[in-house]
Amino acid sequence: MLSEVRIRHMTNLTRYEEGVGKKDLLIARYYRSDYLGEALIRNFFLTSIGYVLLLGMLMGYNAQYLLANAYKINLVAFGAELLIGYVLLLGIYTVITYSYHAVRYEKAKKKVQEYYEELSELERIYNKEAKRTAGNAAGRRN
Amino acid sequence: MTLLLEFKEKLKRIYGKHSGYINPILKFILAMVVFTSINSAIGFLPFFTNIFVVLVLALICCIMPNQILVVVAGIMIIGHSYALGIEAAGIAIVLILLMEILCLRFVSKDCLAMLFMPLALRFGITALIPIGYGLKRNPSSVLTIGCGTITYYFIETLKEKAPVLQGSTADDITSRLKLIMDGIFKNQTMMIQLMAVIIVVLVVYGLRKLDIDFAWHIAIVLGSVVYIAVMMAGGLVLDASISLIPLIAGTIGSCILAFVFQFLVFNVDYSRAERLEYEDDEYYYYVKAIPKISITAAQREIKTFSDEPDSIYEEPTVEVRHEEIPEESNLEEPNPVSVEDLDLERKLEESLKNL
Repeated sequence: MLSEVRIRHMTNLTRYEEGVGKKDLLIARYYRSDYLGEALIRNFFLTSIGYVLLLGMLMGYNAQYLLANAYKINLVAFGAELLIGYVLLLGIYTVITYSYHAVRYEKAKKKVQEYYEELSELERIYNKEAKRTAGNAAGRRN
Repeated sequence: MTLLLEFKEKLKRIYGKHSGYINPILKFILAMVVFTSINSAIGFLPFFTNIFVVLVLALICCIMPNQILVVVAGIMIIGHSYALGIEAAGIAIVLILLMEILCLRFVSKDCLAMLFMPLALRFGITALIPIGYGLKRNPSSVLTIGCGTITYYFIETLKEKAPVLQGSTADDITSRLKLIMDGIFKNQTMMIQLMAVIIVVLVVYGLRKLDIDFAWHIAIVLGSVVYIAVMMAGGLVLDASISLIPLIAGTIGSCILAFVFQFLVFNVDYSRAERLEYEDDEYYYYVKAIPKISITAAQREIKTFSDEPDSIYEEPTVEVRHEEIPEESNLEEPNPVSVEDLDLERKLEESLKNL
């Protein structure tokens, strides 16, 4: 027999699982520290690649000047400036990445908790229906 | 106004019923528009200008997530840049990678703004995209809108410098690099445009979040005014050439389209707004409830019973039809019959015969 309440729960759960829940359920499998750690490691590599690309583009743009004046440039100071720029960019993006993923983790955890609560409610409905069916079958046998 | 509301409800109903078909069709149309715009601007690689290739790519994009459409558009730009020269392709790859690494990994949900913004710039309704995203999304969408703006001006630079790039020799690599990058880094119009769209998104977002009546309307109008003001001020300060009439005409067009968008997405009746106050164990709640304006057509149920069943074991079939009663009924009223004209004796005889 069709139960409207059960169908409503099942529809909500399926809609969540196949929509936003796909990412949330993956995120919720991690511990918070692991999830943030993985995001920060990925950020380190991506920001480093981005910095190299940016530097390459700027050097390509000023290639003629650099080639003409290479002997005048204080390489140590130049290298220090590049390093400070890298550390600054990495620092800024680390803060942004940490904040973004921390908020995302909290939101995913909350939604997954609601999902599991609804799943427990569905299980209770199934158990109730099973008991009712067993009771009806026993009554008919008697 | 009622007609518009009915039309909106019909649209919502049709979209609700057939969104599984409508979404891919819309994505196909968007993909076709984007790819043909790229080809018309920088169509230097014959492979991508082939209409069959464009159709196949658009068909693939219509069934894939939105990010794939952005990736395919990026690949097309790189392909056309490669036809101009290895330096142009290199700069295109570096630009796209930089955008992805530094901006887009945080705002992948708004990736379509990277396609909408160049299209809006091309069709002269630039203010529409920052106003729309300010109304519906959040301030982080400035990243994708900004990336879309930079992409547009990169394409325009390639289009402008194409004759020079195609004519120069292989020895001039550094001068070709500098020529293309000057078109991006020293493009004052692009800087002004970037500033304007960022400020408009922030202003519109800030205004529509305010707890005032007609917040969305005020946000749209002020957003348009701010866009014109920033563009004109930027043009004066940085000495860039900004055409006034296309700017104002395009902004007015954007404003009108933004009002259409607001009508479809956020149409409320401020005159029936209610303010509520209540509390629970943890918080006091101050709630403002503004009803949406909508028209619901009443549904009537018509049950038709078929003829007597062939066997006594079959139940008569019942057909149920749901019909909507139109708002203004155009049905003609039946001619009223007076009691004196009725021949009651004849009617009684007929009914007795049927029995």
